[in-house]
Amino acid sequence: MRSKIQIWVPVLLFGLMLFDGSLSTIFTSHFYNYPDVMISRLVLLGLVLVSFFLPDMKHLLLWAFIIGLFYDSFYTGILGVYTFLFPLIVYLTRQIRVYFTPTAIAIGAIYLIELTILESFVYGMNRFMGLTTATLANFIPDVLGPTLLLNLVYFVILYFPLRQLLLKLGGTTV
Amino acid sequence: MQKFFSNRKLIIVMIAIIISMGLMAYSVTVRNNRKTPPLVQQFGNDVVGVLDHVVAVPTNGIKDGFTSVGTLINTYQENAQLKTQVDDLAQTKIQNQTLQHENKELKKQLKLNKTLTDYSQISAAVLTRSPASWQNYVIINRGQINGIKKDMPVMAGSGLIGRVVEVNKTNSKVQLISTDSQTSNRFAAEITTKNGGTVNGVISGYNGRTRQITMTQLNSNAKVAKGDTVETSGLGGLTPRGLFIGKVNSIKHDDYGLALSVGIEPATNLNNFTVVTVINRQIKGD
Repeated sequence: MRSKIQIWVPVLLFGLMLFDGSLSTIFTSHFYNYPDVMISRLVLLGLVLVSFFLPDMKHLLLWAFIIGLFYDSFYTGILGVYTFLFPLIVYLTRQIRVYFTPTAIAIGAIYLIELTILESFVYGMNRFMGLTTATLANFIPDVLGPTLLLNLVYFVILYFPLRQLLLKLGGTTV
Repeated sequence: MQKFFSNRKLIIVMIAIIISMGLMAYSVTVRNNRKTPPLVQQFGNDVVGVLDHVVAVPTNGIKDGFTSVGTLINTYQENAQLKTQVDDLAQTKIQNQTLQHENKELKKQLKLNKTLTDYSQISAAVLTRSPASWQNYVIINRGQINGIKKDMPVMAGSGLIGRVVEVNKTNSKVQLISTDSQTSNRFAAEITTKNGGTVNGVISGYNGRTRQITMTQLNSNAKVAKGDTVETSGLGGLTPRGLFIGKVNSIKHDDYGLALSVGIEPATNLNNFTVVTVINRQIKGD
Protein backbone atom coordinates (compact mmCIF):
# COMPACT_ATOMS: atom_id res chain seq x y z
CA MET A 1 0.00 0.00 0.00
CA ARG A 2 2.79 2.35 0.97
CA SER A 3 4.64 1.81 -2.29
CA LYS A 4 1.50 2.70 -4.25
CA ILE A 5 1.63 6.23 -2.86
CA GLN A 6 5.34 6.46 -3.49
CA ILE A 7 4.83 5.82 -7.19
CA TRP A 8 1.53 7.47 -7.99
CA VAL A 9 1.85 10.72 -6.07
CA PRO A 10 4.97 11.83 -7.99
CA VAL A 11 3.29 10.78 -11.24
CA LEU A 12 0.21 12.79 -10.31
CA LEU A 13 2.26 15.87 -9.41
CA PHE A 14 4.27 15.57 -12.59
CA GLY A 15 1.08 15.23 -14.63
CA LEU A 16 -0.41 18.32 -12.98
CA MET A 17 2.75 20.23 -13.84
CA LEU A 18 2.42 19.31 -17.52
CA PHE A 19 -1.30 20.14 -17.46
CA ASP A 20 -0.41 23.62 -16.19
CA GLY A 21 1.49 24.16 -19.42
CA SER A 22 -1.17 22.65 -21.64
CA LEU A 23 -3.99 24.64 -20.06
CA SER A 24 -1.92 27.78 -20.53
CA THR A 25 -1.58 26.82 -24.20
CA ILE A 26 -5.26 26.08 -24.77
CA PHE A 27 -6.56 29.15 -22.97
CA THR A 28 -3.71 31.47 -23.94
CA SER A 29 -6.01 34.27 -25.05
CA HIS A 30 -7.96 34.06 -21.78
CA PHE A 31 -5.07 33.58 -19.38
CA TYR A 32 -2.82 36.18 -21.00
CA ASN A 33 -5.50 38.76 -21.63
CA TYR A 34 -3.13 41.69 -21.13
CA PRO A 35 -2.86 43.50 -18.83
CA ASP A 36 -4.57 40.77 -16.80
CA VAL A 37 -2.52 37.63 -16.41
CA MET A 38 -3.73 34.40 -14.83
CA ILE A 39 -1.15 31.86 -13.83
CA SER A 40 -2.24 28.24 -13.78
CA ARG A 41 -1.01 26.54 -10.59
CA LEU A 42 -2.47 23.04 -10.62
CA VAL A 43 0.78 21.61 -9.33
CA LEU A 44 0.52 23.77 -6.19
CA LEU A 45 -3.02 22.49 -5.59
CA GLY A 46 -1.60 18.98 -5.87
CA LEU A 47 1.20 19.70 -3.43
CA VAL A 48 -1.11 21.27 -0.83
CA LEU A 49 -3.68 18.48 -1.01
CA VAL A 50 -1.04 15.76 -0.87
CA SER A 51 0.54 17.31 2.20
CA PHE A 52 -2.90 17.53 3.79
CA PHE A 53 -4.32 14.11 3.02
CA LEU A 54 -1.23 11.94 2.85
CA PRO A 55 0.73 13.01 5.93
CA ASP A 56 2.69 9.75 6.02
CA MET A 57 3.94 10.07 2.43
CA LYS A 58 7.71 9.73 2.68
CA HIS A 59 10.13 12.00 0.87
CA LEU A 60 7.42 14.48 -0.14
CA LEU A 61 9.84 17.35 0.44
CA LEU A 62 12.34 15.64 -1.83
CA TRP A 63 9.70 15.11 -4.51
CA ALA A 64 8.61 18.74 -4.24
CA PHE A 65 12.25 19.68 -4.74
CA ILE A 66 12.59 17.43 -7.81
CA ILE A 67 9.32 18.64 -9.36
CA GLY A 68 10.43 22.21 -8.69
CA LEU A 69 13.76 21.54 -10.39
CA PHE A 70 12.04 20.12 -13.48
CA TYR A 71 9.54 22.99 -13.46
CA ASP A 72 12.36 25.52 -13.39
CA SER A 73 14.38 23.80 -16.04
CA PHE A 74 11.56 23.04 -18.46
CA TYR A 75 9.40 26.13 -18.11
CA THR A 76 11.70 28.99 -17.17
CA GLY A 77 15.32 27.90 -17.57
CA ILE A 78 16.17 29.72 -14.34
CA LEU A 79 16.98 27.21 -11.65
CA GLY A 80 16.34 27.91 -7.99
CA VAL A 81 12.95 29.64 -7.97
CA TYR A 82 10.38 26.85 -7.83
CA THR A 83 13.09 24.44 -6.70
CA PHE A 84 13.12 26.38 -3.46
CA LEU A 85 9.47 27.43 -3.24
CA PHE A 86 7.70 24.08 -3.76
CA PRO A 87 9.43 22.40 -0.77
CA LEU A 88 8.80 25.57 1.25
CA ILE A 89 5.06 25.33 0.53
CA VAL A 90 4.98 21.63 1.42
CA TYR A 91 6.88 22.30 4.66
CA LEU A 92 4.56 25.18 5.55
CA THR A 93 1.43 23.11 4.90
CA ARG A 94 2.74 20.23 6.99
CA GLN A 95 3.53 22.59 9.86
CA ILE A 96 0.08 24.19 10.00
CA ARG A 97 -2.12 21.25 9.02
CA VAL A 98 -2.34 19.99 12.60
CA TYR A 99 -4.14 23.16 13.70
CA PHE A 100 -7.01 22.75 11.27
CA THR A 101 -9.73 20.20 10.69
CA PRO A 102 -9.44 19.23 7.04
CA THR A 103 -12.63 20.80 5.72
CA ALA A 104 -12.93 22.21 2.21
CA ILE A 105 -13.20 25.78 3.50
CA ALA A 106 -10.12 25.56 5.71
CA ILE A 107 -8.00 23.91 3.05
CA GLY A 108 -9.23 26.37 0.45
CA ALA A 109 -8.27 29.31 2.64
CA ILE A 110 -4.83 27.83 3.35
CA TYR A 111 -4.38 27.13 -0.35
CA LEU A 112 -5.15 30.72 -1.31
CA ILE A 113 -2.81 32.08 1.36
CA GLU A 114 -0.01 29.84 0.19
CA LEU A 115 -0.70 30.76 -3.41
CA THR A 116 -0.32 34.41 -2.45
CA ILE A 117 2.97 33.62 -0.73
CA LEU A 118 4.22 31.71 -3.77
CA GLU A 119 3.21 34.36 -6.30
CA SER A 120 4.72 37.13 -4.23
CA PHE A 121 7.99 35.27 -3.87
CA VAL A 122 8.09 34.44 -7.57
CA TYR A 123 7.38 38.05 -8.45
CA GLY A 124 10.00 39.26 -5.99
CA MET A 125 12.64 36.93 -7.39
CA ASN A 126 11.88 37.86 -11.01
CA ARG A 127 11.92 41.52 -10.14
CA PHE A 128 15.19 41.02 -8.29
CA MET A 129 16.76 39.36 -11.33
CA GLY A 130 15.48 42.09 -13.65
CA LEU A 131 13.30 39.70 -15.63
CA THR A 132 10.26 41.91 -15.27
CA THR A 133 9.69 45.63 -14.93
CA ALA A 134 6.19 45.33 -13.47
CA THR A 135 5.81 47.34 -10.29
CA LEU A 136 4.10 46.14 -7.14
CA ALA A 137 1.13 48.34 -8.02
CA ASN A 138 0.83 46.44 -11.31
CA PHE A 139 1.51 43.03 -9.85
CA ILE A 140 -1.26 42.98 -7.25
CA PRO A 141 -4.28 43.89 -9.43
CA ASP A 142 -3.04 42.54 -12.78
CA VAL A 143 -1.43 39.25 -11.80
CA LEU A 144 -2.15 38.27 -8.21
CA GLY A 145 -5.88 39.00 -8.31
CA PRO A 146 -6.74 37.11 -11.52
CA THR A 147 -4.41 34.26 -10.52
CA LEU A 148 -6.17 33.80 -7.19
CA LEU A 149 -9.49 33.83 -9.00
CA LEU A 150 -8.48 31.21 -11.55
CA ASN A 151 -6.97 28.92 -8.96
CA LEU A 152 -10.02 29.27 -6.72
CA VAL A 153 -12.04 27.95 -9.66
CA TYR A 154 -9.57 25.06 -10.02
CA PHE A 155 -9.94 24.37 -6.31
CA VAL A 156 -13.74 24.31 -6.43
CA ILE A 157 -13.75 21.95 -9.41
CA LEU A 158 -10.91 19.66 -8.40
CA TYR A 159 -11.03 19.54 -4.61
CA PHE A 160 -13.40 16.59 -4.24
CA PRO A 161 -12.10 14.43 -7.12
CA LEU A 162 -8.50 14.94 -6.01
CA ARG A 163 -9.36 14.29 -2.38
CA GLN A 164 -11.11 11.02 -3.26
CA LEU A 165 -8.16 10.01 -5.41
CA LEU A 166 -5.60 10.76 -2.72
CA LEU A 167 -7.60 9.07 0.04
CA LYS A 168 -8.00 6.01 -2.17
CA LEU A 169 -4.26 5.97 -2.82
CA GLY A 170 -3.60 6.37 0.89
CA GLY A 171 -5.86 3.43 1.66
CA THR A 172 -8.38 5.25 3.85
CA THR A 173 -12.02 5.34 2.90
CA VAL A 174 -14.36 8.19 3.74
CA MET B 1 16.49 20.41 22.92
CA GLN B 2 13.75 22.64 21.54
CA LYS B 3 16.27 25.39 20.92
CA PHE B 4 18.61 22.99 19.18
CA PHE B 5 15.89 21.90 16.77
CA SER B 6 14.81 25.39 15.87
CA ASN B 7 18.42 26.37 15.32
CA ARG B 8 18.97 23.42 13.04
CA LYS B 9 15.87 24.23 11.02
CA LEU B 10 16.96 27.83 10.74
CA ILE B 11 20.32 26.73 9.40
CA ILE B 12 18.67 24.41 6.87
CA VAL B 13 16.44 27.23 5.64
CA MET B 14 19.42 29.58 5.40
CA ILE B 15 21.40 27.04 3.41
CA ALA B 16 18.42 26.43 1.12
CA ILE B 17 18.05 30.17 0.48
CA ILE B 18 21.76 30.53 -0.26
CA ILE B 19 21.74 27.56 -2.64
CA SER B 20 18.64 28.83 -4.42
CA MET B 21 20.13 32.32 -4.76
CA GLY B 22 23.32 30.80 -6.08
CA LEU B 23 21.43 28.71 -8.63
CA MET B 24 19.46 31.75 -9.78
CA ALA B 25 22.55 33.88 -10.15
CA TYR B 26 24.25 31.06 -12.03
CA SER B 27 21.32 30.57 -14.41
CA VAL B 28 20.85 34.24 -15.16
CA THR B 29 24.50 35.09 -15.76
CA VAL B 30 25.68 31.91 -17.41
CA ARG B 31 22.67 31.43 -19.66
CA ASN B 32 23.24 34.53 -21.74
CA ASN B 33 26.82 33.56 -22.48
CA ARG B 34 26.28 29.95 -23.46
CA LYS B 35 24.97 28.57 -26.71
CA THR B 36 23.11 25.74 -24.96
CA PRO B 37 22.31 24.79 -21.36
CA PRO B 38 24.48 22.17 -19.60
CA LEU B 39 24.07 18.64 -20.89
CA VAL B 40 22.32 17.37 -17.74
CA GLN B 41 19.74 20.14 -17.91
CA GLN B 42 19.26 19.55 -21.64
CA PHE B 43 18.68 15.87 -21.00
CA GLY B 44 16.13 16.64 -18.27
CA ASN B 45 14.31 19.08 -20.54
CA ASP B 46 14.27 16.58 -23.39
CA VAL B 47 12.79 13.88 -21.16
CA VAL B 48 10.09 16.26 -19.90
CA GLY B 49 9.50 17.41 -23.48
CA VAL B 50 8.94 13.86 -24.68
CA LEU B 51 6.68 13.03 -21.73
CA ASP B 52 4.78 16.25 -22.35
CA HIS B 53 3.61 14.88 -25.69
CA VAL B 54 1.30 12.57 -23.71
CA VAL B 55 -0.49 15.61 -22.28
CA ALA B 56 0.11 18.23 -24.96
CA VAL B 57 -0.88 16.29 -28.09
CA PRO B 58 -4.45 15.42 -26.99
CA THR B 59 -5.12 18.84 -25.45
CA ASN B 60 -3.74 20.69 -28.46
CA GLY B 61 -5.88 18.40 -30.61
CA ILE B 62 -8.98 19.42 -28.66
CA LYS B 63 -8.05 23.06 -29.06
CA ASP B 64 -7.60 22.64 -32.80
CA GLY B 65 -10.96 20.89 -32.99
CA PHE B 66 -12.74 23.80 -31.30
CA THR B 67 -10.89 26.30 -33.45
CA SER B 68 -11.95 24.51 -36.62
CA VAL B 69 -15.60 24.53 -35.54
CA GLY B 70 -15.24 28.24 -34.79
CA THR B 71 -13.73 28.97 -38.18
CA LEU B 72 -16.37 26.88 -39.92
CA ILE B 73 -19.03 29.29 -38.67
CA ASN B 74 -17.19 32.29 -40.10
CA THR B 75 -16.33 30.57 -43.34
CA TYR B 76 -18.98 32.07 -45.57
CA GLN B 77 -18.26 35.70 -44.72
CA GLU B 78 -14.56 35.15 -44.83
CA ASN B 79 -14.79 33.46 -48.19
CA ALA B 80 -16.59 36.42 -49.70
CA GLN B 81 -13.97 38.81 -48.35
CA LEU B 82 -11.05 36.67 -49.39
CA LYS B 83 -12.30 36.21 -52.95
CA THR B 84 -11.90 39.91 -53.56
CA GLN B 85 -8.34 39.77 -52.26
CA VAL B 86 -7.27 36.71 -54.23
CA ASP B 87 -7.29 38.40 -57.64
CA ASP B 88 -5.03 41.07 -56.30
CA LEU B 89 -2.77 38.52 -54.67
CA ALA B 90 -2.18 36.47 -57.80
CA GLN B 91 -0.87 39.51 -59.59
CA THR B 92 1.36 40.46 -56.64
CA LYS B 93 2.71 36.93 -56.46
CA ILE B 94 3.73 36.88 -60.10
CA GLN B 95 5.32 40.27 -59.73
CA ASN B 96 7.11 39.06 -56.62
CA GLN B 97 8.46 36.03 -58.47
CA THR B 98 9.76 38.13 -61.30
CA LEU B 99 11.39 40.56 -58.94
CA GLN B 100 12.95 37.75 -56.93
CA HIS B 101 14.35 36.28 -60.09
CA GLU B 102 15.69 39.59 -61.25
CA ASN B 103 17.16 40.22 -57.83
CA LYS B 104 18.99 36.90 -57.98
CA GLU B 105 20.38 37.68 -61.41
CA LEU B 106 21.56 41.10 -60.32
CA LYS B 107 23.16 39.66 -57.21
CA LYS B 108 24.99 37.19 -59.39
CA GLN B 109 26.29 39.98 -61.61
CA LEU B 110 27.48 41.88 -58.57
CA LYS B 111 29.10 38.68 -57.24
CA LEU B 112 27.03 38.92 -54.05
CA ASN B 113 26.34 35.48 -52.68
CA LYS B 114 24.20 36.06 -49.66
CA THR B 115 22.73 39.28 -48.35
CA LEU B 116 20.84 40.24 -45.23
CA THR B 117 17.54 39.24 -46.78
CA ASP B 118 18.42 35.57 -47.40
CA TYR B 119 17.11 33.07 -44.92
CA SER B 120 15.83 29.52 -44.65
CA GLN B 121 12.88 28.41 -42.55
CA ILE B 122 12.32 25.66 -40.01
CA SER B 123 8.70 24.97 -39.10
CA ALA B 124 7.80 23.89 -35.61
CA ALA B 125 4.67 23.29 -33.56
CA VAL B 126 3.99 24.83 -30.19
CA LEU B 127 4.32 22.11 -27.58
CA THR B 128 3.28 24.05 -24.52
CA ARG B 129 3.32 27.48 -23.02
CA SER B 130 5.19 28.22 -19.85
CA PRO B 131 2.67 28.89 -17.07
CA ALA B 132 5.34 30.94 -15.32
CA SER B 133 4.01 34.11 -16.91
CA TRP B 134 6.90 36.39 -16.03
CA GLN B 135 8.99 34.68 -18.65
CA ASN B 136 6.60 34.77 -21.64
CA TYR B 137 8.02 31.55 -22.98
CA VAL B 138 6.59 29.16 -25.51
CA ILE B 139 8.16 25.72 -25.89
CA ILE B 140 8.38 24.39 -29.44
CA ASN B 141 9.03 20.85 -30.59
CA ARG B 142 12.21 21.41 -32.58
CA GLY B 143 15.73 21.61 -31.20
CA GLN B 144 19.41 21.27 -31.94
CA ILE B 145 18.94 18.16 -34.06
CA ASN B 146 16.69 20.18 -36.38
CA GLY B 147 19.28 22.90 -36.73
CA ILE B 148 17.86 25.46 -34.34
CA LYS B 149 20.36 27.77 -32.71
CA LYS B 150 20.07 30.26 -29.90
CA ASP B 151 18.89 33.80 -30.81
CA MET B 152 17.16 32.83 -34.04
CA PRO B 153 14.02 34.91 -34.69
CA VAL B 154 10.64 33.18 -34.72
CA MET B 155 7.61 34.05 -36.84
CA ALA B 156 3.97 33.00 -36.65
CA GLY B 157 1.39 33.84 -39.26
CA SER B 158 2.66 36.93 -41.00
CA GLY B 159 4.59 38.55 -38.19
CA LEU B 160 7.50 38.25 -35.86
CA ILE B 161 6.65 36.81 -32.44
CA GLY B 162 9.94 36.33 -30.65
CA ARG B 163 13.34 34.80 -30.38
CA VAL B 164 14.81 31.44 -29.41
CA VAL B 165 16.41 31.75 -25.97
CA GLU B 166 17.29 28.19 -25.06
CA VAL B 167 17.94 25.16 -27.25
CA ASN B 168 17.77 21.57 -26.08
CA LYS B 169 18.22 18.53 -28.27
CA THR B 170 14.56 18.07 -29.20
CA ASN B 171 12.79 21.19 -27.97
CA SER B 172 13.55 24.84 -27.46
CA LYS B 173 12.20 27.85 -25.63
CA VAL B 174 10.99 30.92 -27.48
CA GLN B 175 10.76 34.23 -25.69
CA LEU B 176 7.82 36.20 -27.01
CA ILE B 177 8.20 39.78 -28.13
CA SER B 178 5.62 40.71 -25.47
CA THR B 179 8.16 40.28 -22.68
CA ASP B 180 9.18 43.17 -20.47
CA SER B 181 12.38 41.53 -19.29
CA GLN B 182 15.33 43.90 -19.12
CA THR B 183 17.86 41.21 -19.90
CA SER B 184 16.39 39.89 -23.15
CA ASN B 185 17.93 40.43 -26.55
CA ARG B 186 16.29 43.15 -28.58
CA PHE B 187 15.37 43.32 -32.26
CA ALA B 188 16.78 46.04 -34.46
CA ALA B 189 13.90 47.31 -36.56
CA GLU B 190 13.24 49.83 -39.31
CA ILE B 191 10.19 51.75 -40.40
CA THR B 192 9.50 52.28 -44.07
CA THR B 193 8.02 55.75 -44.39
CA LYS B 194 5.53 56.97 -46.99
CA ASN B 195 8.19 58.65 -49.09
CA GLY B 196 10.25 55.48 -49.31
CA GLY B 197 12.89 56.22 -46.71
CA THR B 198 13.74 54.05 -43.74
CA VAL B 199 14.07 54.99 -40.08
CA ASN B 200 16.01 52.75 -37.72
CA GLY B 201 15.16 51.96 -34.14
CA VAL B 202 15.05 49.21 -31.53
CA ILE B 203 12.12 47.11 -30.32
CA SER B 204 12.31 47.76 -26.62
CA GLY B 205 9.24 46.34 -24.97
CA TYR B 206 5.53 45.68 -24.93
CA ASN B 207 2.75 47.82 -23.55
CA GLY B 208 0.24 45.48 -21.96
CA ARG B 209 -2.43 48.17 -21.59
CA THR B 210 -2.54 49.14 -25.27
CA ARG B 211 -1.29 45.73 -26.50
CA GLN B 212 1.29 47.38 -28.67
CA ILE B 213 4.96 46.70 -29.23
CA THR B 214 7.12 49.67 -28.30
CA MET B 215 9.91 50.78 -30.59
CA THR B 216 12.32 53.44 -29.36
CA GLN B 217 15.47 55.33 -30.28
CA LEU B 218 14.16 56.70 -33.54
CA ASN B 219 15.52 59.91 -34.90
CA SER B 220 13.18 62.59 -33.56
CA ASN B 221 12.78 64.46 -36.86
CA ALA B 222 11.93 61.34 -38.82
CA LYS B 223 8.66 61.60 -40.73
CA VAL B 224 6.87 58.58 -39.36
CA ALA B 225 3.14 58.34 -39.94
CA LYS B 226 0.41 56.08 -38.62
CA GLY B 227 0.11 52.97 -40.79
CA ASP B 228 3.74 52.75 -41.85
CA THR B 229 5.11 49.21 -41.88
CA VAL B 230 7.77 48.06 -39.43
CA GLU B 231 10.18 45.23 -40.18
CA THR B 232 13.47 43.92 -38.84
CA SER B 233 16.48 45.78 -40.18
CA GLY B 234 18.92 42.87 -40.08
CA LEU B 235 21.50 44.87 -38.17
CA GLY B 236 23.41 42.99 -35.49
CA GLY B 237 23.22 39.30 -34.72
CA LEU B 238 21.20 36.53 -36.30
CA THR B 239 18.12 38.34 -37.60
CA PRO B 240 17.70 38.72 -41.36
CA ARG B 241 16.27 41.85 -42.92
CA GLY B 242 12.62 42.20 -43.80
CA LEU B 243 10.72 40.18 -41.20
CA PHE B 244 7.36 41.86 -40.78
CA ILE B 245 6.66 43.10 -37.24
CA GLY B 246 3.58 45.27 -37.56
CA LYS B 247 2.16 48.69 -38.37
CA VAL B 248 2.77 51.99 -36.65
CA ASN B 249 -0.16 52.95 -34.47
CA SER B 250 0.95 55.77 -32.20
CA ILE B 251 3.88 58.17 -32.26
CA LYS B 252 5.22 60.21 -29.37
CA HIS B 253 8.44 61.58 -27.97
CA ASP B 254 10.18 59.39 -25.41
CA ASP B 255 10.58 60.33 -21.76
CA TYR B 256 13.59 62.55 -22.40
CA GLY B 257 12.22 64.22 -25.52
CA LEU B 258 15.33 63.32 -27.50
CA ALA B 259 14.01 60.49 -29.64
CA LEU B 260 10.72 59.19 -30.95
CA SER B 261 8.90 56.30 -29.34
CA VAL B 262 6.47 54.42 -31.56
CA GLY B 263 3.66 52.03 -30.66
CA ILE B 264 3.34 49.14 -33.13
CA GLU B 265 0.22 47.11 -33.74
CA PRO B 266 1.59 43.53 -34.01
CA ALA B 267 1.00 41.76 -37.33
CA THR B 268 0.10 38.49 -35.58
CA ASN B 269 -2.09 37.81 -32.60
CA LEU B 270 0.58 37.17 -29.99
CA ASN B 271 -1.77 34.94 -28.00
CA ASN B 272 -3.12 32.64 -30.65
CA PHE B 273 -0.80 30.52 -32.73
CA THR B 274 -0.04 26.81 -32.84
CA VAL B 275 2.56 26.67 -35.60
CA VAL B 276 5.67 28.81 -35.77
CA THR B 277 8.53 29.28 -38.23
CA VAL B 278 12.07 29.61 -37.01
CA ILE B 279 14.19 31.81 -39.27
CA ASN B 280 17.75 30.84 -40.04
CA ARG B 281 19.75 33.69 -41.54
CA GLN B 282 22.13 32.49 -44.24
CA ILE B 283 24.71 35.18 -43.95
CA LYS B 284 26.93 34.77 -40.90
CA GLY B 285 26.62 37.25 -38.04
CA ASP B 286 29.52 38.75 -36.18
